[in-house]
Amino acid sequence: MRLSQQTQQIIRETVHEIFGIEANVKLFGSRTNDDARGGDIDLLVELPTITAEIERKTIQLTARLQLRIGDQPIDILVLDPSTPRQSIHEQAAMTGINL
Amino acid sequence: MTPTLGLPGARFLHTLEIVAKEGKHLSYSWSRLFNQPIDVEWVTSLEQKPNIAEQLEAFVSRFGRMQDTMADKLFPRWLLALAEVPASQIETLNRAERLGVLNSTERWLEARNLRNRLVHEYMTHPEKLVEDLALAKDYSLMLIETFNRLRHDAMTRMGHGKEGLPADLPLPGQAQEPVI
Repeated sequence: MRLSQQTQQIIRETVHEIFGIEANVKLFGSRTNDDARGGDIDLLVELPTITAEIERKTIQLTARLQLRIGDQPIDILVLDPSTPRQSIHEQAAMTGINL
Repeated sequence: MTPTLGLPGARFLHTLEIVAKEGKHLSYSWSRLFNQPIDVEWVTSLEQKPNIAEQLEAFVSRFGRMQDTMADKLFPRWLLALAEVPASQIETLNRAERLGVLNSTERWLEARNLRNRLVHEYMTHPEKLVEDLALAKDYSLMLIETFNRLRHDAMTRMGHGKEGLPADLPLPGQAQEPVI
């Protein structure tokens, strides 16, 4: 995966700050491929319980990560048990790497 | 009093005028859109109501345009007019925060991310669009308040008189419908 240890740790901590320590975060997409270059940071955040204000928290998480790891495209999918599952979610969950 | 303007000062004022107009248009679309209760039913009815869909489109577009012009043009030109050198967008926003024009760089970036979500997730997730529009309603006020603080800064820090500046923007929802 193409994310430094430090960046991975910042992502974990920031996800926990905003969504709580039960939140699990995976990296998916081109950054999981060591041979690719550049690309968005695609994150999948999985929440074990139904959560309010997911949109607000998602834009807050994106903004805070852009401040902490640099201003770059970060695309975040957030799933709680009430989110209707789509194939992109299954693909991301299946191919993603836990951070 | 009005200071003698060099090119940076003149460009800043020109851009401030443009953003003032963008703010008025945003206020107008804000008032028209949030005049109606926005829920999932409202979103799903848009297919049958193309005129309302256009109101939504206008609001989203104006919300994005005002923040783009401010972040890409107005803040950097304001710093240049103050003889500072703007760097990356985040550094420019941080400088605006330190000088008291912007409340929070993080909130500004949230508005930028919200705008991207509004543009891209538009027709696919009615529940998300409802939540995003409620957020955009609030973040629009932040844009307008930030414009007003920057205008105020042009008076206090640069010594511009009111007569050379666009008027303060009234916050939508708290004043009469803006006249365009």
